[in-house]
Amino acid sequence: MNGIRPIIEFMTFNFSLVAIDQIINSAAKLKSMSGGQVDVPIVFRGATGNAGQLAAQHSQNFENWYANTPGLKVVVPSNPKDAKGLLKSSIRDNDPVIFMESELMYGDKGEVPESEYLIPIGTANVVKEGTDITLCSFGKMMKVAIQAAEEMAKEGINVEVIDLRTVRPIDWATIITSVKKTNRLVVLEEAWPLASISSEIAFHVSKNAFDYLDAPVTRVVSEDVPVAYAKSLLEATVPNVEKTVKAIKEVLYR
Amino acid sequence: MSNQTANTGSAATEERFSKETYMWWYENMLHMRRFEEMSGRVYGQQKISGFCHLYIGQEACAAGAVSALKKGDKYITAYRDHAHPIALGSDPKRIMAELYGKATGLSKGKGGSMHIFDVENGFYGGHGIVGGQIPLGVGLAFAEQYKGTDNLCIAYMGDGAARQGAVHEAFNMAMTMKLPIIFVIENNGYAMGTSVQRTSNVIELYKLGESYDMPSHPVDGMSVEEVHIACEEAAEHIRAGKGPVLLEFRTYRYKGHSMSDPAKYRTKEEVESYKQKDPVQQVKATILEKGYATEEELKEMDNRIKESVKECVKFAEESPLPDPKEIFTDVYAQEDYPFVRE
Repeated sequence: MNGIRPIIEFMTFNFSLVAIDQIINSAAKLKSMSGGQVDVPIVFRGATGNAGQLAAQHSQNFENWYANTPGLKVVVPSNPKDAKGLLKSSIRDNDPVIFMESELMYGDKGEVPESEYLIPIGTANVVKEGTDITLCSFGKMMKVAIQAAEEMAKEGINVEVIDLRTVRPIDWATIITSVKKTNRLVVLEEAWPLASISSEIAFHVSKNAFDYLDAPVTRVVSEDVPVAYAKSLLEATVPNVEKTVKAIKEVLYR
Repeated sequence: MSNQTANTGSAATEERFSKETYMWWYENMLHMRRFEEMSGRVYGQQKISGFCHLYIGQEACAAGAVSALKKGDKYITAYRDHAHPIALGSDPKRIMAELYGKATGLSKGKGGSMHIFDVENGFYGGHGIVGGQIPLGVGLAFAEQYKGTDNLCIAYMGDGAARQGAVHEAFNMAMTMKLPIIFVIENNGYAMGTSVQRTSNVIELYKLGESYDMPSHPVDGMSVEEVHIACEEAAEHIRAGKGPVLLEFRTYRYKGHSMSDPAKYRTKEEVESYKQKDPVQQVKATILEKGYATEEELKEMDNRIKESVKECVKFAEESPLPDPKEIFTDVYAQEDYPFVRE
């Protein structure tokens, strides 16, 4: 608000809770409270979600927490190319942006154009076109989504896969267009179930595309518990390909 | 800088300041006083809503800083925020209109009493979470250092906020980075209704800065001269690149924490004892003693101020409420942000 454009790195968003007063009560509110006198062009970036056996305090997803707050934008890239284009857009944006990455993706390799390019905030990406069902996800879970779609292809089911890229604002048009085509929807995210991004999408689709649905919207999310340390407990808690395939089949009544 | 609460009204101190300075102080502090009396009155008449925290008794803390600091310096405070912008030159009509929640308010009616902003005049609000403005003040100071300006930030908090965790993180970061910031604890003795003695073993609040090796001083917050001198010396230290200073302004609020506080936790005698050291009356006494103005001239000034405050109320009452469509403006810089609408 004083003419500079800071980028704050949280080692992980679990630690952002110590600074959540500054994010929610200050960054997200200053423009409105001041009647537009100040802009807050700031990026808070860091890792979200579980990153292996790190136990309850280091394995949380707060995408929906931040996305709930007007005044913020929330970006969750899923691959290196998008990460560059979205981060540049986030830094140049004149509003506060929460930019959520994953420790598990920091070693990922992928084609990244050297040239200058921007991916606009608020636009989803249809990463695989399909006709039978829509699978919508974002961030690290996109790998699970793509693998699940590949598994389904082996059984002759053509899944359309959408990468939201941004969870505030959400690109509703892309989701609704896809659902109108496939008539079925599964949402995959790593957060806990109550009041999550998937809840919001399910509500929005039921309200705006109800007549196009051939089955209830379903979702794959983490179990409604703190994430435990033990490998077996972690695997039982968080989404994976197997759980996603099961959800897709459920929506297809297979 | 003096390490002791200074002896106010001494001849040597008075000699430091000109007639113009005294008259500026008196006019501004009286203006704050009359404005706040009116705020309390119209609040009582239910013409303004929400929370309302009055500055009466603490006027010297704002006036002495503004007279000591320079243009381009940044001010930030908590929710007791009607008075600073008056001294900084904001249009008091627009402050009153903000209290009324009118479109003509400084924050277009979106902030109310607790969120007065006037960035053009260096006032960055107006913040409602106890202590939450202090990390922001550190950010304002960081920006000045980063941009290489000669300006500083002065960040005010109350004695209650001095116990807040982020305030101590802010002290530590500001000292480590030698940021240009004056931290001010306006110690009015009570965190809402809880006395300083009940909130910590450390009741000399300036000492909190010492654990960060920060130059820290108690100041008589009822004396505008002492506030000015303390701020001037702190600013000199800071502008020399030596990092932050913590000042504890020992002051007193005559009214409750907010309009809904009957202040039953303190005695009438205590309130009266502070009124004997009233900051506005102290300045008035010096002006009369020095012959800078006559009793009559000061009375005329008071009448003029009272009239202007009435004008503020008239302006606020006649101003329109914000258009309901305004709820979707000033949330994002992006003009076509796609709000979720049902």
